[in-house]
Amino acid sequence: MLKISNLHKTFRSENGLENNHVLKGIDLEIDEGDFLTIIGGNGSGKTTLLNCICGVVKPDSGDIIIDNNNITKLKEFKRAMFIGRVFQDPMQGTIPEMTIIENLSLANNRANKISLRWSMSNKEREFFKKEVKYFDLGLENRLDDRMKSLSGGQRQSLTLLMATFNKPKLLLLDEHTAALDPKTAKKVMQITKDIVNKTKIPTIMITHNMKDAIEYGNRLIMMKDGKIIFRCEGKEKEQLTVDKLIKKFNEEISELPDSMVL
Amino acid sequence: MNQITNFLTEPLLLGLIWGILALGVFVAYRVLDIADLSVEGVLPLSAVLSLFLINNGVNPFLSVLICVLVGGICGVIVACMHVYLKIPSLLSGIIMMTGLFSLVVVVSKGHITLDNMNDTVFNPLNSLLLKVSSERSWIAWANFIGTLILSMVIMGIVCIVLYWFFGTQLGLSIRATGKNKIMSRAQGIDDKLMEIIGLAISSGLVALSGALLAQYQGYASSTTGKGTIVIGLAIIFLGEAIFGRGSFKLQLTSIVVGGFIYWYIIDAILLIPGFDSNLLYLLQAVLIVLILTIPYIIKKIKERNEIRIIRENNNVKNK
Repeated sequence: MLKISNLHKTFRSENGLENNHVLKGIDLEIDEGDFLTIIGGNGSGKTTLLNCICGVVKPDSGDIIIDNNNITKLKEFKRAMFIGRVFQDPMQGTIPEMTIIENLSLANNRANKISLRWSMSNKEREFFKKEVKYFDLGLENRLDDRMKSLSGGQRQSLTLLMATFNKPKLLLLDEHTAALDPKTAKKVMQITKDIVNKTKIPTIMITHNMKDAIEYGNRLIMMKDGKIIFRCEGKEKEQLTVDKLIKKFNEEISELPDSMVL
Repeated sequence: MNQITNFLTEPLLLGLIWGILALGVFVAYRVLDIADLSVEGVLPLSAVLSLFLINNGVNPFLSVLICVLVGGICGVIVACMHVYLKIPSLLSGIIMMTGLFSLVVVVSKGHITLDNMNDTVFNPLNSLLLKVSSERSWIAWANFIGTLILSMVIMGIVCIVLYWFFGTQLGLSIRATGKNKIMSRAQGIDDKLMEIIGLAISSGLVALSGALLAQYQGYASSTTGKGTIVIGLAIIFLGEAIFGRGSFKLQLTSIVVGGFIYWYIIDAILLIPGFDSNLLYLLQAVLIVLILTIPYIIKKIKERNEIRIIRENNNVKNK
């Protein structure tokens, strides 16, 4: 389904003297029904990997192939037709000044943006009501309220819902619960699980929370220094515990020179 | 018409014509979040071009249409400078404005007057109304009512079309682009194209306003557009100060009303005996500062009062 091969990315500073080799030959395959979690320290290249997949960052070399189509050079907004995204910052995924239904409508019409069709038909409204109700957010009667009147958790949940409209081929979640309080984060994670189970969209989730990384998804990778250093799936993943993971994590970290730890 | 009726009637016409300009500025400034200063060049260009075309035998309505198209093209150029050449939008607008000054002078040779005052879009309706009565005093009234009706119709059409357009998927995408580009791209919106379309609409409206203004006045010159952006913004802020920033429908209404109020204020000040009309630009600048600060000051005073009341209540409790 998604196939990434030998992906490299170097960020160059403006004077060209300092090069930051962020991705050093990433190989990754995602199949139908996969839910992959990515963990790794700061600067390990997790977010850059996700940004390469969705087109925010252009890789230096390597290929990104979705369903036999090479999308490495495709523009970001064109990839949005088949890649749904949820950001870390609840402010980024929605437009606070616009109403809930306008936000939902934007997401629901990802494929036909240059259309002069009136955006809020009654049919669409009923569809949104049904979808919003499914996640029990109590928002089905507030569709005409502005997005900014919602809490961070509600906004992230709606962004998640929006990302799954039109059944994208891939769902990317970049630490989408990191900015929420623990209770809300848990609820949003539960909604995430429900959505992934219901829609069966292949999902990649970055998280800082090792418990989440173990609890959710059928596969896990750990990244360090631009490389995938640990892969785990199936039975092995089910038996993975936080302790084992932390041990693994520390093992890898201790191999680093002191200067990088500091 | 005497001075009093003049005072009452003229701001209505100016409010409508400049209101269209304010709508254009609104599309760029509030919807797209781009302060497009090319307005200062597009408005006078459209004004002189419209009269130039009419003097050369072009139908007045057709001249307005051509001006709107030229304005739209100016908007596309500014947007392309910003989007593709990565020139900051503020600078793109200033560059365009400066460039257009030359065109304005070339077309108008400094100053242009309508050869035949009856050659305007307003004339058909005005002359129809003139037939109602043959009294001398009726002439001015017929001209006023005819111009008012046509301006209202044009303003009405512009508002309805804008309201409809910004409710369509395309319009919604343009609004989204102005508010949050990251989200827009993630939702499959071509943000560059949206900025180009949005600025084309904005400049088209500005050009429409310029052409109507020139035909209403019967003359235009290279100084016609001085302070245009300030007037446009002042009308928007005035509307927002009164109505707040609510739904899109409310925002459109607030601009129309803001246009009337703005010109009544200016007209009232001009009525002051001995007021030097050369001070008008200075006055407009001061006015916009007042419009922007008064709501802020009112808010601060309210907050202070609320805090005082809370404090007093607490003191009472403590005692």
